[in-house]
Amino acid sequence: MNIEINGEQKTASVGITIALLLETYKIVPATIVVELNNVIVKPDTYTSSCLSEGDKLEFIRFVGGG
Amino acid sequence: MLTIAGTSFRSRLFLGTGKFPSAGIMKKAIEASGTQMVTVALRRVDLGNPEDDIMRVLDRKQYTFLPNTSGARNAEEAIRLARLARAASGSCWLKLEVTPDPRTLLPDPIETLAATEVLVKEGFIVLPYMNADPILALRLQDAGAAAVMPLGSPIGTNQGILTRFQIEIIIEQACVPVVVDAGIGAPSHAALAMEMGADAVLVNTAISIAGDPVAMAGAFAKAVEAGRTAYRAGMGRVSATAKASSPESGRLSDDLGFLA
Repeated sequence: MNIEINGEQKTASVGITIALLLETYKIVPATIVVELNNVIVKPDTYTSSCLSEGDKLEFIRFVGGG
Repeated sequence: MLTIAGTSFRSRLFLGTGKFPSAGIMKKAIEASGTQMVTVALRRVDLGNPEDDIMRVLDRKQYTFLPNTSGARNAEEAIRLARLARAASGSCWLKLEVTPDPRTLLPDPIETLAATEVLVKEGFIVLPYMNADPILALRLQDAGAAAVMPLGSPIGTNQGILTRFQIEIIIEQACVPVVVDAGIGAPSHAALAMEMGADAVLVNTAISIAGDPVAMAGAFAKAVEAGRTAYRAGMGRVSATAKASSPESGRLSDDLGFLA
């Protein structure tokens, strides 16, 4: 299925969880915050949140800034 | 000691963490500055380089993290970033920044006030970045801002305190701490802000792009301390005419007329 991560079109297996997706991209969950279709996802639901076709994800983290 | 929203700070120098040549130099500069408050920004994870994480070099227990909403062009975007920041940091501290024009990065006063009103109600500790407008400072304070952060000059310009007279009025009127933010390009600028009675200054570019950011961070620490001490000591009045430093009486000219 097609999903969007950080504005980029990606393909993923149907029903993949956020936890698995983070693992695929080698992202440490504790270092980021996830937004799914403009709603912040609680970290304790990463393993149970299954994604659907057309979902829009944002993986956000702190960077240096003033 | 400076207190903002019930948290006390020994150091009156707040540091931005952007544009340092490396995470290691940033860490050393933060240590050299003696700061207890550092700002950070929120951005998308680089999917091609997911291990690039600034937070791994910073001890979250040692500093108060002040996430900013940089990149927000209106209140709606700023509020969305604020909520993400809270989810990421687990804390309510927020530097509210709404800059619609990328050329000047000047803050939008109306959107900033609107976002402050919403975010204060949601329990955020809001420190709004603002133009040096004394009326706006009062409006933000009334809306529940924990401090106000007027600019000395536009972000990253190193032009110093070009808004001196407006900032003096803000300091005179404010009931919340005044943190001079943006444009401070040299330790002397920071000292001036503190001599004027600012409660703190926020510095980033002047330190991060210095030839030796660690040494510059130390220089800023001294300047902020000197400026604060001078303010507390009571600055002498500025006069348009000369006032002799030496005694007026008992001059040789009183006895030796030819010297008169």
